[in-house]
Amino acid sequence: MAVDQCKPRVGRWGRGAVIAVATLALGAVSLFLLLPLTASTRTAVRDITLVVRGMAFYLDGGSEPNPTIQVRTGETVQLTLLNRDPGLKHNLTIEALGLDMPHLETDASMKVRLRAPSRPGRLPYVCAPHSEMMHGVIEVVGSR
Amino acid sequence: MDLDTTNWSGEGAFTQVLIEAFQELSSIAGVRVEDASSARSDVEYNFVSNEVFVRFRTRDQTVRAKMLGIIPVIRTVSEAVMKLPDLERTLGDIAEVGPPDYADEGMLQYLRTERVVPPYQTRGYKLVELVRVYEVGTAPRAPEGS
Repeated sequence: MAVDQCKPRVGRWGRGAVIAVATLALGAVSLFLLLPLTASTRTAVRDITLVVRGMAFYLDGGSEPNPTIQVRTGETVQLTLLNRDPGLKHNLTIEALGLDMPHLETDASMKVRLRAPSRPGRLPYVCAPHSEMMHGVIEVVGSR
Repeated sequence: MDLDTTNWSGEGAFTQVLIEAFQELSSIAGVRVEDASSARSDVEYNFVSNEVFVRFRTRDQTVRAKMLGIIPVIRTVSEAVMKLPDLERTLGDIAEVGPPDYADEGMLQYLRTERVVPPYQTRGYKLVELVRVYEVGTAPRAPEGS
């Protein structure tokens, strides 16, 4: 008798467990499929720091003078200019983007937020007072 | 005066003028000249960047002190006969050198620019010479990767 009474209770729990597992699995699959979509729509802003020393631009921690900087089409970047040249004023001018920073004193810095054009191309950047020596290129490449 | 140019390519006319000026100063014991890592050239410019480290002569001076704050003693201390600000003033009085374009407590900086047009060329290039003068023992500014 006791065994008979227990049998249907076990079956009901079993069905519940199956439904719960199935629901969880469906949720996990949905999350797995939707996550990349939400990630791709999020616009992360990349930080780029240009340090001026010895009459040249350098990427922060880099050793290549006046480097070519790559950005993706439509990408938003936060560009920081830091003047580490003693006794010399420097700025950053990107004519194609209408950017013309004021001349920064030694150890001064300035941040600007820039949005790359929607088409690939090459945008020259210069330090206006020392444009012959301090010039580089921002290379806009197509998004992957 | 001891002159060490082992790590200098010899480029920089103004650097040479500075060295000659240093050789005339009795308060300078030694000079070391080095090419700075930022020196570079392109079609449009030649950027010469030199670092000059100056060692001043010292004089011994006796000073009275108290050992443990009680026993009077006489100590001999070496003191540089010149400091960087004195050198700045001295160089400023020399016509070929003049005052620095920038100076702080640890460095004198001279910047000279000229456009050089070689024979049979019309455009030429810009010659920029940046010379930083430090006292020996001072770390140069803006090292690589900073």
